[in-house]
Amino acid sequence: MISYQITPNKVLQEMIEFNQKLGKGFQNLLETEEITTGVTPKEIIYQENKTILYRFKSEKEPKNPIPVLIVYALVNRPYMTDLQENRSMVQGLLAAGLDVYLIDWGYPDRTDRFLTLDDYINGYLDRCVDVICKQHDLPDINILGICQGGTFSLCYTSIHPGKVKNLITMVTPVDFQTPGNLLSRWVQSIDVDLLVDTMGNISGELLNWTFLSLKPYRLMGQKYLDMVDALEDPQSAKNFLRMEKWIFDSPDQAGETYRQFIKDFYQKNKLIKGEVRLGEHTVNLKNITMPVLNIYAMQDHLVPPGASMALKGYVGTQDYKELSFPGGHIGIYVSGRAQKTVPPSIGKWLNERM
Amino acid sequence: MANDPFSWPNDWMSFQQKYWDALGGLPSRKTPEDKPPPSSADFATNAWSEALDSWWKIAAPKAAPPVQDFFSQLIDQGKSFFQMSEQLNKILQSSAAAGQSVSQWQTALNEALNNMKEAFLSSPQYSRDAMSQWMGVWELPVDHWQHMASSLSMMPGDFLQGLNTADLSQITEPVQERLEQFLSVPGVGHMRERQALYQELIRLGVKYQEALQEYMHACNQIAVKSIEKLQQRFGDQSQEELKIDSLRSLYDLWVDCCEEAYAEYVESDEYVRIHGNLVNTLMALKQHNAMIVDDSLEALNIPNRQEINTLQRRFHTLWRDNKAMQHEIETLKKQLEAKKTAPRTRKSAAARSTRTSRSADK
Repeated sequence: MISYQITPNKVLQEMIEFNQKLGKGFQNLLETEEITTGVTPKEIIYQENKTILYRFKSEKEPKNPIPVLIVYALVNRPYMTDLQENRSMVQGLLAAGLDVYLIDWGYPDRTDRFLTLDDYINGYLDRCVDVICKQHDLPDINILGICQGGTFSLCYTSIHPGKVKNLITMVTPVDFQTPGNLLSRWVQSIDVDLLVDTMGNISGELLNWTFLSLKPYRLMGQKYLDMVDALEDPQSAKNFLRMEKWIFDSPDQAGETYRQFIKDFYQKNKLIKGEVRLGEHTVNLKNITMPVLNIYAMQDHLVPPGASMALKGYVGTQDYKELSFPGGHIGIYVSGRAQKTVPPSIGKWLNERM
Repeated sequence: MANDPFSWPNDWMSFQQKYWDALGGLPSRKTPEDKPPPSSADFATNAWSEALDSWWKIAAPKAAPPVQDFFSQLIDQGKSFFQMSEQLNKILQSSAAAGQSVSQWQTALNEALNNMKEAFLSSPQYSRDAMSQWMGVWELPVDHWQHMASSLSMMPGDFLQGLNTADLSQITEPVQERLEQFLSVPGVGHMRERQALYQELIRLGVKYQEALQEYMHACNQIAVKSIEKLQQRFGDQSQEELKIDSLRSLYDLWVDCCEEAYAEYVESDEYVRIHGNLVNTLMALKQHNAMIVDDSLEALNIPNRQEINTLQRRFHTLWRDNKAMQHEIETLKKQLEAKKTAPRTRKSAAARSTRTSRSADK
């Protein structure tokens, strides 16, 4: 039963307040300096074409001698892991005593149209791992794969198990056809060959449209009204803009990589069937015998928890641990709760397995 | 009066004037070239959203492009929110004028919602024009698709949007007949291939239009379901009391209903097919279009996309081969290095062992 308590005066007051906030927000935006992202100092260790391997600088010596490499997705930009001072997973990992590296895949353009998953995983990623191993004179390192980067890490580890000491996957799709996976449902009827042959690379706009279409009224409508409240405060305005910048900072996807990823992973679910072929290799998750920490978000609308939790049944390791986070796909990197729980848990888990 | 939601004042114009005055306090409003505030007559319809629009037109040039883009989104959603408020106000005003009771007011609102449902079902075009005045948020999925499709278009702006606004069922029969005649004319002579190419382009264009219409129809169905959900929430006696004490809470309730209806529908096989068809028909149209462009470039002796693709593929193969060879050379170097050091190590180990045995003999 509805209790309707809107009065003319209330309406007027609400409209006036809304406009005042809008005006103040606009003023704040005009005064806002350039929005910066990626707060932790870092240096370039290796560069090949558009791929860059960074090492983050820490004020203190790492406690753990085995470095950790963050493998981010091709979708969106990796600065999400180091968004701002008080929302940085990277800083949390450094504080936990880890030596942190990160791969930035860059923005593919038409010259990258024929890059394949094999090029990314057995090429760029493998060469980055070799560089780190050489730098530290180690046979293997720790890998932390995020989202699609987690799927890449699983493929990589299964093919090169000798180079990975411990594997952490975060909000990573493994079973691509679990109930409630809307992205997977939608993509089943897409003619991916036609899409890639037509577009060459897959535009960031198309991907954004897909992601925002998961919850269009909230993500394209209500969110902006919520924002009018937040814009009143200059700091909140800046934080929102930073997040907004990240959401729409969507690199195009190299066509051939996209083709194989959608067809083999989403449409045919080959990862859990052990049928993914990368160059000369077949991906077999049973080859993953090193310790695995699998982190997923309970309210993830992009990678449903079930899609990640499936990993347990397919890896060969005896040392498998799960960490569930009460939040969404983005909150797991940037929310206040995530800062307090996720990086320290990763640090503790890795430090116990040096 | 102020506490009685069913006795709306007749002096709404003065409220609107106050509202305009409040807007006048916003940044950028007081510029020398400003026009004087509009008179009451200017507020005849959708006064709030129009005033917001006017303010934004004055303020926007002062902002940098990224801020403008972002704020335009806020203004669009603000306008949608305002339009909803204004339409709701009309319903409340008429109810108040008739001095109706709470239940009668709910009946009036229900009737208004039923009218909306009928409009959605009867004519997509009408619903786009008229219903966007009321809870325009329902348009978001279609709008978003059209922006995205526009970004993939080689034409500036959304020329495809221009194509799709006409409901195919409303295309008059003679036009349809002509179109079918044109498409069925067999190609002859040296222009045969060209003719077939353009006939196919039109066929694909029509297919895309049909797919878009089907998608828009699906979105209208979602809107109808959303309205039904809103009606259920209003009328559901079994639920806990739902307090609506601001326009914002009403807006949030509407968004909840829209999301709920949307989530239920987009998981269905029907939607998966419609969604796939929308993307696939657009791609087929674009691909054919690209082929025609390629043909024209070839005629002008300018490298076309197909040729550039071939070059890029060859370049990519060379790059991969090069990387594989580099890797092989590195591996061989390491093996060679290992071989060079291994005999020395073995010799010195053998020498050490001889020295040890000799000293042991002593």
